[in-house]
Amino acid sequence: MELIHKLKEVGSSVIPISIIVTILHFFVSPLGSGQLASFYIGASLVIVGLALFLLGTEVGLLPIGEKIGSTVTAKKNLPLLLGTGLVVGFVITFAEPDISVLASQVASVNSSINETVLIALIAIGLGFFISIAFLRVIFKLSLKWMFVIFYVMLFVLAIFSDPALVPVAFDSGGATTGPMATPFIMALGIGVARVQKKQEEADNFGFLAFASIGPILAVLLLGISNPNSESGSAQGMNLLYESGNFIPLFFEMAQDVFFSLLPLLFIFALYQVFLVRMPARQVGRMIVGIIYAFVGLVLFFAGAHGGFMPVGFAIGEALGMLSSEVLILVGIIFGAVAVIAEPAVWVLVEQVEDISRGHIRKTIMLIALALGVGVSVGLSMIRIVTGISIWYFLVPTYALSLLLLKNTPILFSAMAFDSGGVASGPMSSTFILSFAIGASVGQGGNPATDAFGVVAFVAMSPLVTIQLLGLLYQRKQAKIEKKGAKK
Amino acid sequence: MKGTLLLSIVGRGEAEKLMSIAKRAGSPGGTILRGRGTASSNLMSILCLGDSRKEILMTLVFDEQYDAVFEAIRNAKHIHGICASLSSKRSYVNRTLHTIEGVRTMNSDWELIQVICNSGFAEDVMDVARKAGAGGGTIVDGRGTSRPDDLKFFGASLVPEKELLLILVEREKSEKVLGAITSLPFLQQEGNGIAFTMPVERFIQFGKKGNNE
Repeated sequence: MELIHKLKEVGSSVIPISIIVTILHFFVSPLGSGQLASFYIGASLVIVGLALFLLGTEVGLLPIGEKIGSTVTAKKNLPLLLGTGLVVGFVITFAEPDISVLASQVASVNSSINETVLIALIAIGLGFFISIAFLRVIFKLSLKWMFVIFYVMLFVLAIFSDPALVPVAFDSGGATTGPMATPFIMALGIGVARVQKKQEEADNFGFLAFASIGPILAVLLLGISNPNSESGSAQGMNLLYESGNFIPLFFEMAQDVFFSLLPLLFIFALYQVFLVRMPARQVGRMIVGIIYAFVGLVLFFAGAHGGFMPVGFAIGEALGMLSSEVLILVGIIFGAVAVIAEPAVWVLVEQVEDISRGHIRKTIMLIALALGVGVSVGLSMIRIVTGISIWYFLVPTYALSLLLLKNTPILFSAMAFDSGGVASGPMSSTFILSFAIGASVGQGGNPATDAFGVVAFVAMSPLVTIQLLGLLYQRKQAKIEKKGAKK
Repeated sequence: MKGTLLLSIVGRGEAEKLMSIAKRAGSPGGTILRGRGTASSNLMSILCLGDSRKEILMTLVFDEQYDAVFEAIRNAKHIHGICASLSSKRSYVNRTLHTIEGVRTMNSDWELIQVICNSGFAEDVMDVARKAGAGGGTIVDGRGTSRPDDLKFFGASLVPEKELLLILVEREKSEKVLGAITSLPFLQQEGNGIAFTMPVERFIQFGKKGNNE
């Protein structure tokens, strides 16, 4: 049965993180006994929640997105297509709880920025770029050139933008693609690609990549128009939850997830009534799927907030006081194990396996992501220890990933730019972020400024590692073909 | 020379294993598709808990190797699913057309019903098929090939999404199941789908004791 299979898979991805925390507890940084217990409860909630969420997206969210994508394309109506992009962008922005958190962070760094204006700009940016993603597939524009143009543009804008806002802007790219929006946006792209006669695997991807560019652009533009910055005054760090207390957390999370689900349901209902018109049986399946996804996410968030966040903070703080070397090392390990417990990452790698018909295996993608994010979190620990500017990390990494575009197979480039936003989900914004804040507190740094940018770090490394994986695949493929030719 | 298509529907990750078993017994190679197994009961189907990933292995074998390959597949261990052999009247392999000479008369008690319908409808088809006595089915995503007068959108041709539903049933139930499927309202309209049956020569249910045909 599918649910049991998923439980096993997801379980094996959460167990490494639990083992490491246990080892650290006994040998390096002892936790309170209640903390460890609630960490284990949290871990089991995360496993069950993740498995349910994945089952739910498979039967519910993904088919809805695909159907909407393919139907809208098959209607051959350009205004409808672009309108859909805008509507989806708007709805997702308002659905994502992370965005309002982000907006208040921005406002706390630069007081001349109006929160409502910012949210509206992000919504327009996101909608505009989803429309661009539609156009790209229809007009067969080169994905690689578009990436180069848009990212160079982002960096040029970043030079002129308010420096305090730059890390926040790059964080926002990861923040918009949360676990509900990710499968939906991805499925839209797959739906559009599916009705094309000339089928290219790469057409299935790229929607998420564009979805992360929009918000970055919006925040940077705001930074240019409002240059006066009063950095350092950031507070708003009510990110930390207490250990345990799962029952009230359930209600709180249920509310959050419900409100992020509601707008998606609204789009679904709208398109079902006026355009898609699926048979009743199929609609029933989707509703059941959405319920699974909802329950799964609530369990996941409750587990992550009640179990993982306090532990992340405690370990970060203890290690920060202990030694910088151990901190960096543990950062690498935590990064690697946290990304493979990220809900949206699982949705992505399963889609990749499906679309490549089993050719690109889940495990290989997960390993590449784990390596990349491990290095990323290690680097952000170095930044916390040394306090070097974020530019020294962002510019070379993005430059490298744009250079890699030249030789990487297009499918892998598309996947790489998609996984950037996907890798930075709730796991990095709970566990990794609180670990970084703890580390910064332990080191005696300024957690408010150091914590910004961690999500951006997590989002940048898959761009490089997945493309490197693509180069490896290409070489291997060439070898196999040579062998075949000899025969 | 006559070729026979062996169609196996097995669990996730098992098609490669089965293929290597068949290869050792002399089969030249095969093609693996990915599909979704439908639930085997109505309750599981409503709860969406019965879905499972399936792999479909199609391999074409010639008469010389047929018995050895079929025996090898039948004795395969740790494989979950079914295998049906479907005779192919003519096969075209390595630029030579092999035409059938004698018709093998052997037939099992099973038939393969194939339904190709517009995407999203296969679950409904499976529902009525299940009510008419079918056990379970496997859904494969596909796309229709476009006709010359097909939809064009800024130079890009668009094609319809299709689903292929494979159902194996005992021959005595086959008429009833096919009748139930064709009576579905949405299949009454032209262009929404087609259904056809094929006789199954031999049939294996992996893991079932006896494995008789």
